[in-house]
Amino acid sequence: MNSRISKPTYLIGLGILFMAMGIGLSFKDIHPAAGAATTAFGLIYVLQAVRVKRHGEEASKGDERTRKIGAWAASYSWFLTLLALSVLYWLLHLKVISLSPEDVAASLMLFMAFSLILFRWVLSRKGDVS
Amino acid sequence: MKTRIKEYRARFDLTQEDLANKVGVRRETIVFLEKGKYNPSLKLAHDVAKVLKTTIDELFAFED
Repeated sequence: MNSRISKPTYLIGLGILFMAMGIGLSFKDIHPAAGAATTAFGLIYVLQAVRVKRHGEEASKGDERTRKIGAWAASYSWFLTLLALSVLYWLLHLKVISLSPEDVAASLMLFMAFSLILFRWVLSRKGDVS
Repeated sequence: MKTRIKEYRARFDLTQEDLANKVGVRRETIVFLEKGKYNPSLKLAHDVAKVLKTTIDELFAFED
């Protein structure tokens, strides 16, 4: 008997788990962004599972250009988030703005995700990273 | 970078999609390769040259 779990199956499993956790967190008395972010994370897993199922594991990884662009986009996004974090630190330190730790964490999660998508889009339109 | 991929592709009556499938990349990668906007890896350059029955030197010209 073949007991290996296929990639789409475990991706769907993880996706449903995260989505259930996210929905569960939404009913708790915590920052609303935590539940939404966890649910979104689960949804990404489910969408990836559908992609792997439709196009196969190799095709869903993308080719060398898309992998290269993805890696550079992640690097740019990480660096930009670091800069944003530095600016945020000084704004909080100088009491220019006032944010709770949950607000900072939620805004950074969203900033990283959106900047990654933005850099991937820009680099994809350019054709290459250089 | 200038390429002669389009010219060689026409000789073999291959579409961008055909060439992409033969070398295992997405069609967009072939589009950007032909425009000279994407610098391919040595492996991809080799694979494209092999499919088009030519050499890497013939296909790609780098400007100084």
